[in-house]
This record gives sequence, structure tokens and C-alpha cells, in this order.
Amino acid sequence: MSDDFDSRLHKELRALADAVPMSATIRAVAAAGRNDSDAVAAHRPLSGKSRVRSGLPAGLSLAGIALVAVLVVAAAMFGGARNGHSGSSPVPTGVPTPLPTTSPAELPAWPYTGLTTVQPKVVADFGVDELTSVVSGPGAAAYVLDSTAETVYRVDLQTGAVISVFSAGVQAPAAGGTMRATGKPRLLATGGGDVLILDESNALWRWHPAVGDTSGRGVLSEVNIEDHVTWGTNVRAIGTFLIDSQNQSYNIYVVAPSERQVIKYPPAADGSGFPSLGRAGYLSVSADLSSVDDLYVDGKFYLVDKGKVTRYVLGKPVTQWVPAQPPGSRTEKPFYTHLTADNAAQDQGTFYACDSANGRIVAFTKTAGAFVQQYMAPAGSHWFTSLTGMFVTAGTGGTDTLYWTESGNLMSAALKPAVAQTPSPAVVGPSVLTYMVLPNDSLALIASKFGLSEQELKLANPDLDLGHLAAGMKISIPVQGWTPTPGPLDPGLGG
Amino acid sequence: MPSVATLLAPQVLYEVQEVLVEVELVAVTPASVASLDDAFRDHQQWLVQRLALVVGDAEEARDIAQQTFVRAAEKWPFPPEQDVPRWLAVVGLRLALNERRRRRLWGFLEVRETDATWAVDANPDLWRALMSLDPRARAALVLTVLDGYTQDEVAGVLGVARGTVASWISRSRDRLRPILEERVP
Repeated sequence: MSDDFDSRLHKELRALADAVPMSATIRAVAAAGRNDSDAVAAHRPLSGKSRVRSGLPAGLSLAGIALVAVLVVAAAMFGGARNGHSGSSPVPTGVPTPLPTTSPAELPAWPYTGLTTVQPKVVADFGVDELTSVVSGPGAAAYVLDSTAETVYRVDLQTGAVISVFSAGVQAPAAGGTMRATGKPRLLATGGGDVLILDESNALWRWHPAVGDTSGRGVLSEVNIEDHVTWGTNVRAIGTFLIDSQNQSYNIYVVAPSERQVIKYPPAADGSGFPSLGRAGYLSVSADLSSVDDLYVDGKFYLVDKGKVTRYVLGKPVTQWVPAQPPGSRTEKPFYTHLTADNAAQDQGTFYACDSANGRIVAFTKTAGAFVQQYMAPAGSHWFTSLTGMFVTAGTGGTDTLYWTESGNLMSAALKPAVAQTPSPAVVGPSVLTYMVLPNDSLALIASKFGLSEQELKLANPDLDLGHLAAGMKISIPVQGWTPTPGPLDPGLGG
Repeated sequence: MPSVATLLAPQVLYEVQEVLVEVELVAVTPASVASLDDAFRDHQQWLVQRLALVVGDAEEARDIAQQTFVRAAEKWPFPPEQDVPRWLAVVGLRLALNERRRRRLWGFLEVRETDATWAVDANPDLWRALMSLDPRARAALVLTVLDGYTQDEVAGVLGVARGTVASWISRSRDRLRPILEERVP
């Protein structure tokens, strides 16, 4: 039946496509006296070898020139150009552009729980350029990877000023002490005050702001990792973990599907780089990493793979830790693609994950994965459905700010905490999760998993004899600030 | 067959001027220009057809296709290993989706009324169902169903996760299924 449907869909779509009228309306431009029946004539103006600095393009008729003059104004209104550059060599303006807002009254009809509608704002508009990543970096700035321009831009989050910090094809100090050209940037990370840029040849570049500079001037040099060529061509993500805050030194993690490993490099003691001698596979068991979309390291290690967020401790997946299913009646299960947090410390703060399949940002606790809140853009807009990178800055009063890249824009939105509502009798009660005891669990082990004491577990389970745990037994795990959800969805971790 | 230049839309002319002023010009040999003309002849029709299904307007689709070929002219000649149809699909769809986004952002700009007589005449139910989908979902559907792209390839074209594409296609098929199955005898 499915094949039948596919076949019919193909046939009908094909028929619809064939019905598209191909004859263009006669345009003023076409009728403006151009006598060029072939593309050779059309492109002759492009064949000059000199750089045209000013003046009007050769080969355009007077009517065309007049029309161009009018359309320059019109196109500027459309925001089609950025500082007069065409799309192939963009320089973003970084001028914040307000978005038309939509009334919360236009929220979709389906019922939600714990839903907040955010109001997205444009921080910087990069036009048609493809932005593939963004990280929060030194100088209270966002660092945006523009794949179209093959450039990494620094966007000042206070002023919106945009400056290039990395471009493909630029000569920069290489690890061997010579100079080499940078490649097309592929991935971004930050660590210890550095912005790390992985280029297409797996060279890892380090951009560090100049001492005392807050305007975006800095120094670019290659990070010395001798065996970076072994990572393969499809590195999915890179990350860091600060191990010495005084020296700002950090581990580097490389998700390398060709190696079926997350390769971990500790820094050399003398700061000379990341010697291959220290290289180690982080995962206890090698795995297919070809679909990994993101990673997060805060002492524990998290991978976003095939829509799921998995916690690892000492290289082993922690199967008991699972982000709770967001409440509500969305038909699609969450498919997470990006993960960030408002607190870099281990087990502290809130995770924010982008569920692009449902166009929402889901917040859950780091400690237990308990649902906190979900955020959507106003109805009718499509934000969060094709997000390519995100980070969160912690704000005052519990309001974090989300920054993300999507559809050629660096966007921001305030993530306000849930509005307190009068709970129904059904949801009054202690904030708990249900946990199913596994064969090798002990009370101490369960307590440590959730950052609790054994005494707290006993207090939460007064009716159970926790001195004699049995596999399959369900126990309550108290969670600060978590509100249980009524209905069929069980947010429990293993119950 | 008209050349690229004879179909230049006003907005394209503006971009051509920008190219002339801002970009260091590259010598274009007659052979490569002829190849560009060939590419235009070979690919313009299907590109317009795909874009029309995505943006919902044949006129706009033709404009975007022209912009796409102007972008191609900027980069021409392509390296031998370049998959020209794929490049055109990627750039065309991104231009289309970004044009939609831009119009949405600048709410005061008048959006030209869509003339979809051709589509309504051909298959009104399917057209209405198609237009009820998100433009990116339409793009994903068109690329997979009409052109046989895999979900991974579409994810690459649209710059989203494969799961997102899978979700779009699944929902699109669910939306279109009643339309098509209703007409099964």
C-alpha cells in the first residue's frame, strides 16, 4: 500500500510540476533593447580582468540602468544586500531587526503543559548565508560560523557589532612554526577563553582575543595536535572541558565516526599543545557516531545522537538518566539535535535541548533530566525547526537568554521561567520521579546517581524498606522544583 | 531558447551590478560561457517546476531560478566534480526559503498575490494540501518524491538534521494521503 501511495504521489506531483507555466511574463528588462540571444553576450561584461571600482556595469542598456537605480532602493528595502556585497561575499550588518510579534492568543490549538511562548529577536541578519554553528565565546560575544562566506564572525551581543575573526584562505601561524592557509571552517567550540575552529582539513585553529581588547581583535594560530589527520573527513562535533581554570587549560574531545570513538586529548603540561601520546578513546565501547549532532561536557559527558541525549560517565552510558518526555499532546516524540546549558558546572543548572521535529526548546534538569519547561515561537512562525546552533546565557530572576542560528540569522529570545499556576488537586504533592531499581543497584549508588543522600531517599519512600532493594522495585526520587505531570505520560526515569 | 541574460529579473539586475562592482572579475572563456548556457537550457525547466511547488507561485519561481543562475554565473566554470543540478537545487531552494523568511520579517512589504490558476486547474485538492505544508516540508517532499534524494541528502540541502527531514516528510505524507486515497476507485 505504501508503494502504491508513493507511486501515486510521485505521479500526481509530477503532473503538477509539469503544469507549471514556463513562459515568463515579458519584463521591462528583457525588452530594454538587449540584443543578446546567447549567454556569451550576456556574460561579456564579466570577462574583464580589471577590478571595477565604480561606475555602472558595462553592457546594460539605459533602460536597464534606470531600472537598476530604482531597484537599488527597492532591494535595499528588502534588506537583500549587506554593506553592498553580494551574497557570495557577505559582510553582515549586525543591525538588530525587530520581528513582527504574534499574539500569544494565536497559540496552536493542541493542549500543552509547561509551555512558554518566546518572542524571537534578530541579533544579526546574515541574509541568505548558511549559518551552521554558534558558540558563546570570549568578550560576551557570539561566534557564528557562516559556511557560505567560509568565515567565523564575532557578534557583540551588547552592540550587535559584527567582525570577522576567521576566514578560509588566510595565512596564519601553523603548529610547526611555519605559516599555512586556513581551510573552510566546519565546526566551532570554545575552551578556556579560546574559540576553536576546525577546518575542512581537520586543522584546529585557536582564536584568542588580544590582551585587554574587547572590540574583537585577536590572534589566530593552529593548535598543535600532531595526529589530527587521523580523524577522518566526517568529524561530527568538537568540545572542550576546562581542567585548570588558572592556566585556562582544557581537554579536547573530537567525535570521530571513522574511528568510532570520541577522541580525548589532554593538554601538554608545558602548554605546547595536545600530544598524541595523551590521546585516548573516551567511550568504553566504540560506537557508530555517524549521526551525532552535538556534545556537551561539564565533567559528565553528553552526546546528542539520533535525536536522543545520552549521559556518559567514565565513558559508559548512564541508562538511568533520560530526559523526561515533555508533557503535552504533541504526536511527535522529541528529536533533539542540539544541547546547551545555563550553567557550566557539573550537575548544576538547566539543560536546553532543541527538539526540531516539534519546533520547540525543551528545558530539563541536569541532575535528573526532569522536565522544567518547553518553549515555542509564536504560532505561524517556524523558528526552532531548522536551528543549527545554540547557547544560553544565564540571566537574573531566572530568565535565561537563548541565542541561536537559524535561516541566516543570529536570533535571541528570553526564556522566562514558567508562570506559577494554581495546581489542580491531581498535581499537588511532592516533586518526585519514579525510578525502577536495576539488578546491581544499591541505595548508595542510586543516591549518588541523583546527587542525593541515602537519608533523603528513605524520607521520600517511607513505605519501602530500602535496606533490601530488589530489581524491579519502584522508588520515588525527590527532585527540587519538578512538577509531576498528570496524564498517561510517565516522566519517570525507568518506571 | 532564451539566454540567462534575456530573462534577468529586476532584482537580478541589481545583483549583477553588485557583482560587477564588488567582485574581482574573472576571465570567462567562451567555452565556459557556452557550458553555462547549456546548463541553463538543461536545468532551468525542472528548477522552475520544483521552485514553483515550493513557493507556490510560478512567476516567483522563475525569478528565483534566474537568481540561481546568476549565482551560478558568478562561480562559473564549476569544477568538473561539481554536481550542477544539485548545486542549483541547493541554491535555488535556499533563495526561495530565505525570500519567504525575509518577507515575513519585513511585514510592511506587500506580498504579491499568488497566481496559482495553473495549479488549481491541474489538481486543486493536491495543491491546497501542498500549500498547507511548511515550505521546507514541501521542499523536502519534492526533492525526495520527485528527484529521489535521500533524507540525508535533503538534510544537507536544507541544512537541518535528518530527523527533521524525516519528520517533515512523514507529516507531509500524512497530510496528502487522504487527498490521494480519496480518489482511488
